[in-house]
Amino acid sequence: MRVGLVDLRGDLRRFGVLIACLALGTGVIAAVGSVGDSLRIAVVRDATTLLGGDLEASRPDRDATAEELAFFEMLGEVTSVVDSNARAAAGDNSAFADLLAVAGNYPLLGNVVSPQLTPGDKPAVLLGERDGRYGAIVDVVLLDRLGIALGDKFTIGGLELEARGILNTLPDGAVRGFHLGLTTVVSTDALARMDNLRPPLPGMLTKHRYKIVLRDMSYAEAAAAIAAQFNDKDWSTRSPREAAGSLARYYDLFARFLLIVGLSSLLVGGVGVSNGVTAYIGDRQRSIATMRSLGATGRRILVHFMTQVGVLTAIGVGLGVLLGGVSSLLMLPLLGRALGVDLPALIEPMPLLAAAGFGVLAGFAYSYLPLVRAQKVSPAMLFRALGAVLPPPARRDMLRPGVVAPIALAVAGIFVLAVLITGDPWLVGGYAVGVVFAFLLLRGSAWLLQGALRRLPPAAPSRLRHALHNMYRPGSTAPVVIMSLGLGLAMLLVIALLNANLHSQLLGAVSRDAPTFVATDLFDDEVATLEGMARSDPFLARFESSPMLRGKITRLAGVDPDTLTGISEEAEFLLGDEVPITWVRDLPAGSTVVDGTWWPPDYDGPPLVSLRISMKADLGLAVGDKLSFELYGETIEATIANFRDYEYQQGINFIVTLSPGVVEAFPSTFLGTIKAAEGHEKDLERELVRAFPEVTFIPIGDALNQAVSILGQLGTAVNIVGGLAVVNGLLVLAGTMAAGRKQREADATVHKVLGATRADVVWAFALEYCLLGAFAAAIATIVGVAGAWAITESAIDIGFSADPVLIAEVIVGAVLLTVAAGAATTWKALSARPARFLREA
Amino acid sequence: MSTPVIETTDTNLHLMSGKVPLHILKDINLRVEAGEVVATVGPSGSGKTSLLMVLSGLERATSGKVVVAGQDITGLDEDQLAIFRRRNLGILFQNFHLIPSLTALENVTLALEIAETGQPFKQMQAAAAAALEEVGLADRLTHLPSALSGGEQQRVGLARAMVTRPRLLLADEPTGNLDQDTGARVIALMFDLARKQHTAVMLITHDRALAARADRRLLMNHGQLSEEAGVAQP
Repeated sequence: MRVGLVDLRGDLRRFGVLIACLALGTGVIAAVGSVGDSLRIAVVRDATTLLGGDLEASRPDRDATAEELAFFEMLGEVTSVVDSNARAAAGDNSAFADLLAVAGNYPLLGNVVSPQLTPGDKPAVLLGERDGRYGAIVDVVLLDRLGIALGDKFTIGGLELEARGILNTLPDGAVRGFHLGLTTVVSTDALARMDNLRPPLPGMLTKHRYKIVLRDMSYAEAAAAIAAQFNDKDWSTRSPREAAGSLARYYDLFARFLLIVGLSSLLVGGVGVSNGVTAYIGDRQRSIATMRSLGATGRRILVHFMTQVGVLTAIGVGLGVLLGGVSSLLMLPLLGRALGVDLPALIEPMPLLAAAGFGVLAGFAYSYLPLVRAQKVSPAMLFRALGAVLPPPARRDMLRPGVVAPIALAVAGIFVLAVLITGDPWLVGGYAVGVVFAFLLLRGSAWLLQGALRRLPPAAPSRLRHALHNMYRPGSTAPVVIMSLGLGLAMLLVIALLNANLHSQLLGAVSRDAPTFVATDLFDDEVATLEGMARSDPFLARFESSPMLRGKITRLAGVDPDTLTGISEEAEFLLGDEVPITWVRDLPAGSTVVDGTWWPPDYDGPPLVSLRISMKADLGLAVGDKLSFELYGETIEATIANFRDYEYQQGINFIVTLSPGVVEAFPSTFLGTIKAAEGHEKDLERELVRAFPEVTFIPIGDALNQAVSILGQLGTAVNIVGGLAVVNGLLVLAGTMAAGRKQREADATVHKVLGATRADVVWAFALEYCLLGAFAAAIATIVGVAGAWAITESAIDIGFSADPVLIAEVIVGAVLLTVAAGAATTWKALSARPARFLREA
Repeated sequence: MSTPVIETTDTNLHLMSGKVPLHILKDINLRVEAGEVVATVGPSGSGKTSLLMVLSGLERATSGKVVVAGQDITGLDEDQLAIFRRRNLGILFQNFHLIPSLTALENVTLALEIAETGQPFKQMQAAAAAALEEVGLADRLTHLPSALSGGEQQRVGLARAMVTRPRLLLADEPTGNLDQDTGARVIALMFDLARKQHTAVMLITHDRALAARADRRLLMNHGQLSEEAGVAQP
C-alpha cells in the first residue's frame, strides 16, 4: 500500500476526469437527498401549522349552522375560512380574485406574514371595519392590476374594501392547493356583506373550512364524532398528516425522480471511472510487468493499484459530498421561500452519508475489473512490442468467483441503499432493470456492430475503410464511446422527452391555443355582442360559444348514482347536482372519438350522449348504456353513442355532450371562451368588464401561466440535475478520448511518416466519430424513448409522445459533439511533432 | 552524370534544448546517387538521426538547401512534405513503429493505401502479401505486431518501407534492437531489395561491420559529416 501511495505521487492531474465523474455523481445524489430530506422533515414537523389546526372540517355549499358550530366548539378552539372567487374592481380596472374570508381569530397556528402586520398580530387587526369600510390584505399584483396603492379603495361583490396590507405568506398557504386569481384576504363579516358571489364556473365551488385545535382528543376520535353527529356526506374532514402528506408525497415523488436522475449520473460517471482506471493500467503495463519480473505477486499488484484507486475514489466522493452539502445549504432557504415552508439552511447528515456510500460502491464496482486485469499483465510483455491499450480480458477470467463476487456485492449494496432511501423497491427494481437493459443493449450493440464490420468486405473508399476498421480493430475505443455517449444521450433524451410530455400533456398548447377568459351563463344577446366584438375589436382575437344547460344525472345504466362509492373526483363532479351539459352537431375541435361513433350533423332521433373517455372506466359504462338526466324538472333518457378523448385546454369540451334534437327545445345559456390578441389581455379584460358588468370572465390564461411557471421551476430543477448527468456523460467521453490520445498520436505520426496528409488523418477520424456518434445516438434513442415511456406510464400517468424533431435535434447535437471531440483529439495528435515521437519511442 | 537522389548544400539544423539552442547539423554537403547504398556511422548524439529527419522532411533544416529525389524540400509545407514522402521515401526505424492494432498485412497495405497508387484494394493487399513473402513472412500475414518477434517486426517494417518502390530508403539503426544474426539477415534483405529496386539507401548504424557492406561510408561527428578515411569507393 505504501508503494502504491508513493507511486501515485505527481500523477494526480491525469485523474481529473475520474475524480470529476465521481464527484459530480455523488454531489447530485447528496444535494437531492439532503434537500428532499429537509423538505420532508419540515413538512411533517409543521404539518399542524400547515393545516392551521389538528382537524379541518369543510363543506362546499354553506356555512356551518349554529348547532354544527357549537359542536365544533365542543371539540376545541375553532376558526373558519371561506375560499371563493370574485372579481375585484377599482374604477375601470378589475381583476379576478382568489377570495379568502377569515374569522377574527384566524389563524390559530402560525402567522399571516405582511409588512403591515406586527409579527404575532392576527390579520383581523387590518381586516376589521373602520369608518364603515372593511380592510383587505392583498397580493401585491392585485394593486398593480387595479391601479391602486395601499390605503386605496376597491370593491368586491358590491362591497367597498380598503387595501390595508400586502400579503407575503399564509401559514396554511402550502396546503391550499391550486387556486385561480390573486389572493385577497378579507374578514368573514365582510364576506357576509358581499352579494353576487355565485360560483363562476361549474364545479368551482366556494369551500367553507373550519380549522379546529382539538382539546384532549385525537384526530381520529374527533373525525369519528363529526361523522356520527352530522351523518352528512357533504362534510369532509382531513388531518394535518393528510394535508401535509399530499404535499410531502408530491415533493417526495419529485425527490425520488431526482434521486434516480442523480443515480444515473453516477452510473454514467462510473463508466468514466472504469475507462480512466483501464487507461491508467494500460499505461502502466510496463511498470506492472517490471514489478512482476522482480517477483511481485498478483495480489501485491492488486493491492498496489487498489490503494491508488481507493485514494482517488475518496477524493472524488469527498468532493461530491462537499458539493452536495454546500448546494443544499444554498438551495434550502430559496426553496423554502418558493414553497411557503420554513426550511432552515441545515445539512441533513444521512443523505450525505448515503451519497458517499453510493459513490464508494460505484467507484469500487467500476474499477475492480480493470484492477483485476492489472494482475494479468505478464512480465513476458517486456519482451514484446506494447500498445498503450490494455488487452481485453479472457472471458473465463472475468467469470471467476473472485472477480464476480466483489462486483456483485457492490452492485447489491447500491441496490439496497437505493431501496432504503426511496423506500420503494418497485421503483428501484424497475430502474435497475432499465439500467441493466441499457447497459446490455449498448454493450451488445457495440459487439454486434464490431462483429458485423469485421465480416463486411472492405469498403472501396479508403477513408471509409479506415474509419470502419478503426471501429473494430483490437483496442478500438468504439465500445466505450458507444457506452459513454449512449448512456449520456439516453439520459438527455429521457429528460428532454419527460419535460416535453409534461408540458404538452398537462398544459396543452397553453401559449398558443388556450383561451384567455372563460365566461359562463351568457345570454343570446351577450353571445351576439361578443361575436360582433370578435369581428371588429382588435383586442379580441377569437370567441367561441356552446349552449350550456345544467342538469343532474339520475340513473346510470340502471344504477342510482347516489349508491356509487369510491369513484374518481371527475366522476363525482359528473354526478353532482348541477352538471353542465351541452349539445352539438359536429365533433368539437380537439376531441377524438375513441369508442363508438359520432352522430350525423342532421341527427334528430332519440337523445344520444357522448362522454369523456375517462368516465368509461371510472363508472364502468359502455356504448349503448342508458343515462337519465333531469333537466328543468323533466327526465330525459339518452343512450351512450360514444366516448371521446380531449384536453381541457383545447377549446370548449363538456364531459357530457348530447346530440341535437330533443334537448334543443330546452332554454339554455352559453359557455363562451375568449382569446385576447397577444399583449392585450388587460385591455380586453377592462373592455369586457365594462361592457358586461353582470358576467364573470375567468382569466384562465393567468392560472395556466401560473401552472406553467410552477412546472417551469420544477422543470428547471430536473433540467439542472439532468444537465449534470449529461455533463458527466461528456466527461466520460472526454476521458475516453484522452485515454486513447497517446495511441492516436502514435498512429497519426506513423500515418504522417508514411505520407498521409493532415486532411487524410482528420477525415478518417471525423468519419469514424460521425459513424460512432450516429450509431450511439440510434441506440440511445431506443433506450431514452423506452425509459421516458416507462416513467410517464408508471410514475406520472400521462399520455406519451416522442417528438421526432426533438429526438432529431438531440441526435444531430450528439453526432456533432462526438465529431468535435474526435476532431479535437485528432488535432492534438496532428500537432504532435513526429520527430519527437520517433526519437522517444 | 545522373540526377542525385540526395543533394544537400550547407544544410544546418538548430534545435532548442529547453532554452539552450543547440547546433545539431553543421554545413552538411551530401550527395547520394540513385541506387547507391551509403552508411553513416558516428557516436551517439552526433546528429546521425537528425540528418535522416531532415532528409525525410520530419525535421526542417534551419538553413541551407535540401534536395531529395530532385525536389527541394526546404520550402514545402506539412502536407506537401507528406505527399513527397509517400511518392519517394521508405523509412525503416530502430523501434519498427508498426501500428499495433493492424496485422502485418494491414500494416504493409496501409503504405500502399496512403501512397494512393490508384490500385483496387484487393490488388494492394496482393502486393503487400507479395512484399511480406519477399521478406520471408508469408505465414505471418494475419499476425498482430505483438505476436511477432523483433526480427519479424523489422521485416514487416522493411516490407512496408519498400512496397511502394521508393527512390530512397532511410534506415535509422534498423538492427539496433535485433541480435547480430537476425540483424544481419534483415540487412541482407534490405540490401537485396534495394539493389533489385534500384533504391538508394541512407543507412545509419553503429555497427561498423554492417557499414562496411555499404557502397560508401560517412562519419558524423559533432554535427559535421565527412567521408570516412580509408574506405574504398566501389
